[in-house]
Amino acid sequence: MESAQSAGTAAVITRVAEHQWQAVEDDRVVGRGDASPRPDGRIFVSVDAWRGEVFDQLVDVMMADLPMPLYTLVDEADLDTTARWARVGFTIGRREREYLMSIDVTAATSSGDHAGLVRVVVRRKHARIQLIEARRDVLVDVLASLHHKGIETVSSYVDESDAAVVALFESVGARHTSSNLELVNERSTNS
Amino acid sequence: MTKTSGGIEVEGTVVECLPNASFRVELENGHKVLAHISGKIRKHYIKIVLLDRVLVELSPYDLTRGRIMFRYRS
Repeated sequence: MESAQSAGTAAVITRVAEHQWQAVEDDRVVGRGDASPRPDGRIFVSVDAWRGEVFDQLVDVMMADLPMPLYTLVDEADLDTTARWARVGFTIGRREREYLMSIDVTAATSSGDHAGLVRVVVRRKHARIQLIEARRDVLVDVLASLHHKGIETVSSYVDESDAAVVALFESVGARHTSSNLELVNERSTNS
Repeated sequence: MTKTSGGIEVEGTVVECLPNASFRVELENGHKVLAHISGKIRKHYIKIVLLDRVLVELSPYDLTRGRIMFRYRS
């Protein structure tokens, strides 16, 4: 795999696998980069480095190696990481809200036929759901079903710009607890 | 405790959730470190909560700081 070394720093960036990069300094790995293509074709990258200049080097090499645009995800509360990505040209593409619902006292159920799809991941007494169709009866049925199975809390990430889904979650008492920022860099590496 | 080419990795338990998306993790030897989650964990929407068992990579520059690399299943 190819290596690259930026002038003025000692870290050597190497692409060690199709979707993995490493920054090595004095025979020690001081940073890692990772790319994950999603089913929709978008490529999400992540970079972990102990120093800002190594972070920048890794991103530079990954941007040269990968087709643009590139995406990444950060916690909006993580100001340091968000600033690092902004420094290398990433801007906010969209914001995802995390909603948390307690279903200890869920009593509402719906009746009648309905069509809908909800992706559910259960861990301990908590479930994470992804609502594919924004229908209140579907959501209420899912919450009631999870409550019946002993689940106490449910969380979900919601695109903040999707007013219908935001309103739906808030209508069932969901609480906005945090936000993720989806950052994007659309810069052409040739420009 | 394992030594890897990337740094020292230790297991610990999340004992406090802090602002700025950081956590206090108590290591098996009783020491506590300030840890952020790795970009890979964030990218995969893995949620870290109080009392989670995690694998932390310690910073080679400051052994009181670390990065959460993995969350163990309960």
